[in-house]
Amino acid sequence: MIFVIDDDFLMAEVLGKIAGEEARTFSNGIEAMKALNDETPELIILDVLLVGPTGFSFLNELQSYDDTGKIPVILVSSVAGSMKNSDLAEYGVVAIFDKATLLPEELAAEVKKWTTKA
Amino acid sequence: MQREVVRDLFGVESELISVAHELKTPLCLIRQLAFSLRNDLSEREMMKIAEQISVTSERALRMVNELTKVARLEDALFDLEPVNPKRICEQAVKELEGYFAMNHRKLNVRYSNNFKLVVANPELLASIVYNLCGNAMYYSEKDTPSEMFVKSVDFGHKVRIGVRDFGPSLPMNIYRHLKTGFLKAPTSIAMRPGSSGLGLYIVSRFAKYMHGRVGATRHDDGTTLFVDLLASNQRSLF
Repeated sequence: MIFVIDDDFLMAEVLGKIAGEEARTFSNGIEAMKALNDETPELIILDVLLVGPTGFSFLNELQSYDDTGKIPVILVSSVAGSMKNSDLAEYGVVAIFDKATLLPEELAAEVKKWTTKA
Repeated sequence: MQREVVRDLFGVESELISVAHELKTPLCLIRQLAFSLRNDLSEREMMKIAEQISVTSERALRMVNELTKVARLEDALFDLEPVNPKRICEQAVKELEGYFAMNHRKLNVRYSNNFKLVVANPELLASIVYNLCGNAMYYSEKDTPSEMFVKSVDFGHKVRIGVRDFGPSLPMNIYRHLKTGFLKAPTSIAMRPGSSGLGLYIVSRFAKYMHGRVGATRHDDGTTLFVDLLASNQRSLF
């Protein structure tokens, strides 16, 4: 199970399908944080510019708890150009993709690295 | 003088960044939807994706059209006339029904009995209504309805057209800007992430052109964005 958080519902749905995993979609970080009380996903695909708290606030929140702090996060954002993997690694970010250049097979391959389903 | 030039330049840059970001969102989605057509899909799934591409393209095109209208406002090419807001709202609801359903949202509409016609340009008023509805959809929680309303205010001198959403409340900094009844420029993406900064700017420009104002009410569970337009004393022919 993975979580996909994107304020554009259709984009969240499309990213979930590309991931090829059972995906739960959320339009904001608050909804996703609530859901984390009930289940822990293997991976989170996260947008940065969200309604309400941004993706960075969500990353901070994840790091505040032992269990959620270990969940790998893939950022998929239209402002990815200004971000570096190395800067965000300590927040659990394992990869960053720009929405404008994202290829489905690249995202699928990255998801496969971090999930148990073959 | 030099400072003014720099300020103007920054203003233009800020607008361009907002526009670019707003257009990037639907374009990225169309691109991913097009990629998904390469998969082995049933005819029904293909039809669904084709419909999603069509709706998303229309969203982007509408934005481009509205920006063109903003640029033409100074030429005063949009005549004002008595307009029935109910007719404009009904048309918007009909056209946006599919877009709301596709995003698992719903749009309801409520009219009070006694509102008058408004002094407006039908094309600009339609853009205002589309933007307010689009904003409400974007900020609504999944499976919650937004509510559009039309009512008489200011002792019948004005008509208020608004949309109430149920989601995160409007950020305080944007609310303060809206209290002035007008946005001078699109809000930066850092201030208001997502797709509504430019929409609100367009709404406020069109409202001002029609001698109206844009406003907002913050609720515990969402926001109402509205425009107040001058009421016309002409009776409706519809």
